[in-house]
Amino acid sequence: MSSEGREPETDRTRAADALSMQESPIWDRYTIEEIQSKAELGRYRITGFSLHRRIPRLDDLVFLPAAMTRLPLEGYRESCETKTVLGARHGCAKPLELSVPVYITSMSFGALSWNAKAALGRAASAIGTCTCTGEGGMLTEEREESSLLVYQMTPSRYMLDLEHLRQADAIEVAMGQGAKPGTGGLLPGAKVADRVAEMRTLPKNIDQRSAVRHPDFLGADDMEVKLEELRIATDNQVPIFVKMPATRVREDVKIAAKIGADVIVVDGMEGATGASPELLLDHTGVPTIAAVAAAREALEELGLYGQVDLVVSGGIRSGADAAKALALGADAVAIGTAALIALNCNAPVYAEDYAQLGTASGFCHHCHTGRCPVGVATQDPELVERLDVEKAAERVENFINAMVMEITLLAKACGKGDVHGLEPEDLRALTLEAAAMARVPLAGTDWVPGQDGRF
Amino acid sequence: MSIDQTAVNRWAGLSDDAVHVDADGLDAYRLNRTLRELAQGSQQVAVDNPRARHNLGIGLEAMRAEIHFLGSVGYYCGGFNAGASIVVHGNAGWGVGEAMSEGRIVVRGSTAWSAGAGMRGGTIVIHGDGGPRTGIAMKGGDIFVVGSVGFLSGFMAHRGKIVVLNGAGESLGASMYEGRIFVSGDVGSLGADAIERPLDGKDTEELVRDLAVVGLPWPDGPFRKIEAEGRLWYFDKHDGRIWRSI
Ligand SMILES: Cc1cc2nc3c(=O)[nH]c(=O)nc-3n(C[C@H](O)[C@H](O)[C@H](O)COP(=O)(O)O)c2cc1C
Ligand code: SF4
Repeated sequence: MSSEGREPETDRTRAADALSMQESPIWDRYTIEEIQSKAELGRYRITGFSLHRRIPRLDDLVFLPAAMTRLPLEGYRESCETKTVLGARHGCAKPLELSVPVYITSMSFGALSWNAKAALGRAASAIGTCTCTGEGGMLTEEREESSLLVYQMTPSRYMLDLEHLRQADAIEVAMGQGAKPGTGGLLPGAKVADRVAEMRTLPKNIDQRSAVRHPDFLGADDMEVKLEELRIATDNQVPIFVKMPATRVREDVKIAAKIGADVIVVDGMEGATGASPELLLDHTGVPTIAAVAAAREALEELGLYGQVDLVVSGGIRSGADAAKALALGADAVAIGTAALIALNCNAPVYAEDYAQLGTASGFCHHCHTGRCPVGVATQDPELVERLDVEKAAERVENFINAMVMEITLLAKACGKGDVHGLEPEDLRALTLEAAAMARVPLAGTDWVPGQDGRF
Repeated sequence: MSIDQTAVNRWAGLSDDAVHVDADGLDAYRLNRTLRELAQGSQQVAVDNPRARHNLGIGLEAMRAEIHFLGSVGYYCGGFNAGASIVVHGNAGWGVGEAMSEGRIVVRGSTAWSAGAGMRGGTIVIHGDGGPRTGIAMKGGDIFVVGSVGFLSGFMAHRGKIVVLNGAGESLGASMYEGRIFVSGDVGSLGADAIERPLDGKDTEELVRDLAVVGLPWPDGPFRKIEAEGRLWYFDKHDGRIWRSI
């Protein structure tokens, strides 16, 4: 179409037009937006949820089910054991006996609403697994709903005293989390409402940045004494967990095992958060797939694999992810975001409220705002009301049951009568990165990059 | 044992019918159990030979007897105390009385780092010096120090009170919430966001009462009151200059 005054369109002008609209791979629209928002805020951005980039994941692994060399078990007829015992190492009176190798991870009251905490507790109890308090202290509703509750001791020590310690079914000493290694918790003022402020002994509505270093121990030697103190204070009734972000996994796992942890929880870089400086999500820690293999190797080198239990978290979305983590060496997996999504996070309801946050269901990562449209990550009573505890608990229960069915389906196809029988040999990698990080052969080869000096 | 127990009792100010337990040969669990049993019946239980061992007197609840450690103790003595009355006749290692909720711990000597870390209630009295980070992350209760306290004392104190009669090291009261510090004597420096506020009549009344209760003298010099200004409580771009380096 050439009208007067305009040049006829040619291939050349079309190409020039396309070029003028081409996004720079360096200064893409996200980068531009990020710079402009920092220019406005005068600080780094803070966000909830998980990272924003592609990394090697458990997705890059596949199972090798039985065919000729191994016998599969009958899918719907032969049973597959899922029972999981955590923390028996030091002979405590009550190791955690879970009916499944999946439990609900530490997510603080404060980051989550009271209804969300109650629903997660109820779901876990219905399944026969445990849930964890997270850093905000022990919520009464959560204790009541949870038959097995892990009490997290973070550097901030909110509500920590003998009374609460004795109500715990396990103690988790937090040394950080995958979403934001090397930094403490973060709870924006909108969520430091009455009850949260009271439980954390904080002035209301302040932007809380929790401590990162524990107040009364620094290195491994101190921490060994601390773990013993916890054992004495609980009269060795319950197991002691140590949770760490996946960074120097081999070294850190060895230290935790040597100083007496019963259970070590390693949280990969895809581990989520209620609020974190955005850059930490994307630029710190190592992926879960690398963390599991390194943790297993560390325990094997100490001769403690099978004695110290290994829990892995960070980006576990399905039974397939969980089964792969088990095969790589985990005794159990802990889930956070998947359980929140089962509760109702990002559900396609209350479209206007997502829009008010500048997002939509399916894209929301706005936990840090305290305006969660579905009542999961908020302290606003009206929003919390939106989460029906009974129905939400049922959804989480269904989801975990589905996950476990997926795990046993894969385990039986691989010929295992116990989910804990899954092993690295059952896996192959689809990418070079995954093969190197998970220490399993690249599919179609017997090559593990780096192993036996073969590169 | 050939120790003259009467002389020991006199040294520690104990009555002649104080019950003695020898810590040698008892692991921390058994010692704890023994203390619980004995402490229901008697007025004073004395622990001989603490030998600066760690984790002594952990998680004790209110009991009839006062527990006396006759010598120095290691890390976390009286940790998770929930009502017991403990006296250390010597020095204490890191984290004495950490996570305590009720009760009273008196240290006749000095304490190492982090005395009263995270405590929620109760009272700690230190007759010597308090180490660095005394009262770190405390959530309630009171700490009294006759000597001085080391650097970063009161760090991130949420609530509760630290009273120091003879000076403090660097960065006193850094990054606190509603913790309060009353200090007499020289202060190395105030920590981030710490600010000195004038004592009012109520503060003085409170201190007079407190010191009488714990049996300590009023210091020679005046008290200064240190609290949080609250500038680190909110993310605010106008404070970018403070934030970027903190
Ligand atoms: C809302 C929310 C709150 C969290 N709070 C805590 C916490 O208090 N302490 C902690 O150690 N980790 C906390 N985490 C991290 C989780 O425990 C866990 O490491 C992570 O969510 C696992 O990754 P996933 O969400 O991909 O399953 C939190 C995560 C979320 C999503
Ligand atoms: S829906 Fe709620 S829980 Fe889910 S990402 Fe948004 S704010 Fe967070």
